[in-house]
Amino acid sequence: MKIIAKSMMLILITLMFIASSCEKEVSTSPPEKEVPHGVVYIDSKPSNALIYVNGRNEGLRTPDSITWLAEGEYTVTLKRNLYRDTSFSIVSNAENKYETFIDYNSNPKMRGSISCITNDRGASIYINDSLVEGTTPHTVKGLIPGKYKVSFSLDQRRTDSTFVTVESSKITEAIVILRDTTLWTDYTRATSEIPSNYLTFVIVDHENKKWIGTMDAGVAVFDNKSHTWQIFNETNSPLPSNQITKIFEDDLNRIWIGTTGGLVVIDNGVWDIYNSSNTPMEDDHVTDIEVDKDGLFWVLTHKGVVRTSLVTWQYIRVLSIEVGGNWLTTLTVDHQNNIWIGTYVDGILKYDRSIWTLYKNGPIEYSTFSSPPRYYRRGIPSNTIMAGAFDPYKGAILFGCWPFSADGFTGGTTLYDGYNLRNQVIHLQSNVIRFIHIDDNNKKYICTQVGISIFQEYYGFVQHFRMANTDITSDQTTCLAIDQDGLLWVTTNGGGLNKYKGEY
Amino acid sequence: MIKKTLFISVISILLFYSCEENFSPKADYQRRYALNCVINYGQEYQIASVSTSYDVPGFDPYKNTDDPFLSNVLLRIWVNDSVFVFQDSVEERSDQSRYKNPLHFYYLDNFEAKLNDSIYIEAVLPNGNILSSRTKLPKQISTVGEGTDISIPPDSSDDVSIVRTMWTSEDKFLIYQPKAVIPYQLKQGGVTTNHEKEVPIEYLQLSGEEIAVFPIPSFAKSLNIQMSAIERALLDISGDDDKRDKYTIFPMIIKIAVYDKNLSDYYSSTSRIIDEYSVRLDEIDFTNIDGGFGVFGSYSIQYLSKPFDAEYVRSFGYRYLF
Repeated sequence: MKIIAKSMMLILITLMFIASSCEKEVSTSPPEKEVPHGVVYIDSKPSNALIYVNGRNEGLRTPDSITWLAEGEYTVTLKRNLYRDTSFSIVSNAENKYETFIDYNSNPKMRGSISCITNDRGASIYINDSLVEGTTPHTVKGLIPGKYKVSFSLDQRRTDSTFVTVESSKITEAIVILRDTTLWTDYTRATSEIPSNYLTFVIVDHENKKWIGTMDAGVAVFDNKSHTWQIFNETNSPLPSNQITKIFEDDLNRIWIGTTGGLVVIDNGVWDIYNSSNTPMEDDHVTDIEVDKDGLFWVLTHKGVVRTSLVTWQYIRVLSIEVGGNWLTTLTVDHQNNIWIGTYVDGILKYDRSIWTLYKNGPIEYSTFSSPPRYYRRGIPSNTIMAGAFDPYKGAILFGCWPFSADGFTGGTTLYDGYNLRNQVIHLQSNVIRFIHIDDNNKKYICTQVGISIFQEYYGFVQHFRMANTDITSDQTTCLAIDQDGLLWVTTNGGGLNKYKGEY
Repeated sequence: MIKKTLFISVISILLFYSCEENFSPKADYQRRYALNCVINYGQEYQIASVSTSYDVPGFDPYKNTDDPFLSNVLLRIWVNDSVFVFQDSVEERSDQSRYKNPLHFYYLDNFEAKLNDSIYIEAVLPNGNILSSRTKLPKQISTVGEGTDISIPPDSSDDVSIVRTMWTSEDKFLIYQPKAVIPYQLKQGGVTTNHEKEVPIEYLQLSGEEIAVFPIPSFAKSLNIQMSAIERALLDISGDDDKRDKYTIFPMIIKIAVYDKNLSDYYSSTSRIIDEYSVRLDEIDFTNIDGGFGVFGSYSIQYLSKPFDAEYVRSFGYRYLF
């Protein structure tokens, strides 16, 4: 028994030894933490809302899942441009995927309103081109946040629109000043299909269509009965240049278009191009076109002039006068079939088919030049002549002379009465004169840097149309024409085309 | 007695057998993860990497040839309320001696932060593990008037042979790495090209050879450059070119890389020559990533301009523009 007890003791000690001897001291890194498994899927309508969890921007946008979210309850906030923030609770559970869907637009608080205001009350309101009930002033409610086009329509006012952005629970103002079209209607790139706001010339053809020359976008033909526009430019037509200098319709209803790249004649839809390569024209920059008493056309270019029937071409030598700069600007035919040419720096040239006479502002000078040209000192307010028109009632020619500060000339108008050139004082708003027109009723129209001036008698009342006293869109008027309905069409440099329906 | 002897023998064999297990110095392999990202202030483009540890048979870690890059990581950076989510990208690996596959990395191309901004990075790994860390961009530094020569050559300091620059910052215990450069233009054949000449702080004679000494990262907030080194740098710009009027010199610029606290700690723990009190660690021992290993830090490069005296530059035959 004693032996058995000893043996048992020995076994126990041995087992303890075994157990202790096998213990190894080897360092190990701590086990990886148990990671949470919750997945939360969040979607919204509209989507693309930023997801915040417990106030932290997760950098995720709906629809998206937040993975590995520790089990528990969280506050999720969705932030979306134009909408109010939406917060809600979610539960992250390792066993079940949590899914939630937020429909912003089902919440009335997420909608917004537009307050529609026009300067004149009672305008019809269109939201994204759909008519809404009510007229201005009126607030359209319950709109889904986003960008809207708001249009207004009112009799005798130009239909106009604006874009506004609607936000949740806010009232956005759509305020539009409706332009009064009772007297003036403008045609600009913003309000019509006109290809440019920088216009150079306008005529009314035999069909009462308006041909409008632009500085940079060719020719636009506007039919204001059908409100249709037709655009001709270098890309879609044979037009040699988009810079138009003159438009003219002859008795055969042919349209002549002067450009900086040559002359265009459109005859019943057929285009012919004339330039220095196929005519005696000295250069391609056409500045004026007129017809004389013989039915021949005079085409003025920067450097010279040609006379043509389109079958024959005759080069007229102007340079014998030695005009400085060779820059010819305007051509006028008087009742005696004399040709008057304005120059940029050298005054006025008269051609009576045999003799050239140069009229300049300056001391009296006589020259023994060929033919002979005679130099006169006359009452020309400057030597920069940019416009001219024949006055059939007076048998006189009215010239527009620009100020030329280098020589101290103030500019203005000068009149040739058949005998002498004299300074014709007209109270214009500006002496930068771009165009002169004298109509069948002997009314004179002068387009200047500061609006239009209209008058009947040279020393009578002058009516001015400019931005300060009318709705014309620009003071820089360049040309005008009167259509068959007596409406005045005015081109401007920067303000597009203006139509005047009032009295003048 | 025989029974007793037999019993003891059996127990001894059992004992011997039970302990017959080879001891290995390698612990049981457990996967670990590393996140590395150093924010370069002022850059929209930032890169980061997330990798996993690996095991190899034996003890040579270079036997592993499987790229440890970890893909499908949701890696984000928060700066105030803005969050930037990294995209992953891949590039041709230039050194394919170990890994043959293309180089993977994460990048941002729209990062924005201001000096002194706090930045938090978080990587959610495909298995749900999260690695995270914080840093703070260094604050703006400014020059200290008393310890700084305002122009080159110095005209007011006691020692005109040294150009001194001293700066200060509200941040404490950061490491600065200054670098002085002279920008210049060379006009040749109608074409103007821009260049920079790096300026050492001094030249040392070592075994008869002249060695240029450049500034190294340190806690010091000053930089002293020998005038002789600047003169040498100016001469080196044109070298043997006699037509020195082709060269236009601009004021010297001192570019100071300011390491944030994390990078400063990292650098001072791994560099041998910060100061005599620092303890150098092996690179792997330093981490500031919660949940794993790696380094997350930031640095900014700030610029101080030091104009030359115009006559001084012209005396070399150069043009000078400031």
